[in-house]
Amino acid sequence: MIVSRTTDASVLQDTDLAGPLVFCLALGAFLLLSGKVHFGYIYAIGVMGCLGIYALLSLMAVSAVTLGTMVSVLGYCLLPMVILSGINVVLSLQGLTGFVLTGLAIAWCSLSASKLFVTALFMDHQQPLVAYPCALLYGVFALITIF
Amino acid sequence: MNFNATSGARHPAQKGSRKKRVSDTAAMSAPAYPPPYNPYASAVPGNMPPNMNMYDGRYVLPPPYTASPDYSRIHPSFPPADQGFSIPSQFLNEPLVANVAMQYGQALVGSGKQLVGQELEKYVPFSRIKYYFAVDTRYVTKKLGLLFFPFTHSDWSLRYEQDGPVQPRYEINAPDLYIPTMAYVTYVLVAGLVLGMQDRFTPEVLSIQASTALAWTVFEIIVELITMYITNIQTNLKTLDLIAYGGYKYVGIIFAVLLSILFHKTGYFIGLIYCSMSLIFFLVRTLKVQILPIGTSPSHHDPYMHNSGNKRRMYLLLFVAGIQPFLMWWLSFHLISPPVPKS
Repeated sequence: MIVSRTTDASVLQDTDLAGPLVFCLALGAFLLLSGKVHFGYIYAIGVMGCLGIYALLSLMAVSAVTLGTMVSVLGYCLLPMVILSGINVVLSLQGLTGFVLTGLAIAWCSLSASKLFVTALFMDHQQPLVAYPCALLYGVFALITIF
Repeated sequence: MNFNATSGARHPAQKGSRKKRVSDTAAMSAPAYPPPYNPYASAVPGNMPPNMNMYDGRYVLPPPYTASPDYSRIHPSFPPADQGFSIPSQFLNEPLVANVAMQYGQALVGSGKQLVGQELEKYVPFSRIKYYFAVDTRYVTKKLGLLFFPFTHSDWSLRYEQDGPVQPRYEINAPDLYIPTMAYVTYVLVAGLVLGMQDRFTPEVLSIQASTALAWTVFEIIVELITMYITNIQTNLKTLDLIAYGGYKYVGIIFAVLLSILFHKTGYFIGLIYCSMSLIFFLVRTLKVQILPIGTSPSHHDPYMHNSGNKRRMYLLLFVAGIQPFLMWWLSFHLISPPVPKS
């Protein structure tokens, strides 16, 4: 998850969905602590976002994409969003510092996700193109967290 | 064969001999966590000798998960409780049967997937769509620059390969579907953001915006297709091209709406007017190559090129380019913040 470390493609050989599930539940729990009951929205957005990015990556990448790999990568990179929602319990994120923090969290999420995707799917010169949809997806999660 | 292990597994001396027969069918049947029952635990063969050391005299304790070296390999679906289950599970775990079953299953899945893919290809041409997504970062940045400032670009022609236009990756003038798709999704999110800043946000709003914009885009494409059909204009434009060109307006919409965050109504209208002008210019120059016939030489009359439809083609071009500003305004004017707070 540390952005500066280099990853290799073998990291994605073992896909597991337990970590992403834990992160989603943690996100829902933190949102619950802030007074918003949004489990349904998290689930819906997660499913639609995963399907959308799966469709996009399978169209863009030359090698085959599996849904399980994708869900696990996206779920693991949800960690900064969980941290953001944790911060949201204590501070309100609607001010300027809140926006900056949100932007940083989204950037961290999408950079790490896109780096994993680009490494695993052998896409050349397409990392920002992959990072942008991931940033949009995590932006939707951020929208739910903030508003 | 496993039942022979009852006597042998507990003795270190025989453990060594059991270890040599790791390829034995008994060796493959180790469940993930040897349960606290004696017969089953002793049925675990010698490929877990470190565990056996721990379990001597401690049969009733559940094993720690880290102690099992084969945990990742074995599905934990075998109920360890009843020894009656051990026969079919042992059988399935024999390496030969397992391999054959896996290969058969994979072959089935592969052929099934192929069949589904073929059927789906008839309705949604995935290979054609893949062409529109063959982009890279350089193309996207240049295209976005072109959308905002097309006035200095000089060469608008498309290069062609033997079976179609060159991929967008290598040809800046080729249409792509990545930018329109991303712009559409970004538009929905920016709409949500702007409405949230005006305290008008609920998650349903996102879906309302998305479906409205999608409906209008589909409507626009259908109108253009019907127009092309009625006026009997033959072009190289495909439906996906039209979708691509229709989707470029979302970039302008996003820019105008983002400006409206900072500068309210004036910013919005300035952004809208500028983006409309640049989009009209961009579309006219791009589509001129594809809709209007290119006069290579006056004496060369191509019988398949309907030269008599010049006027109709011009009108079609102006129509396609001209409805963009209206649609841009229609899809975004309700998003700008009113200068006076309304109830």
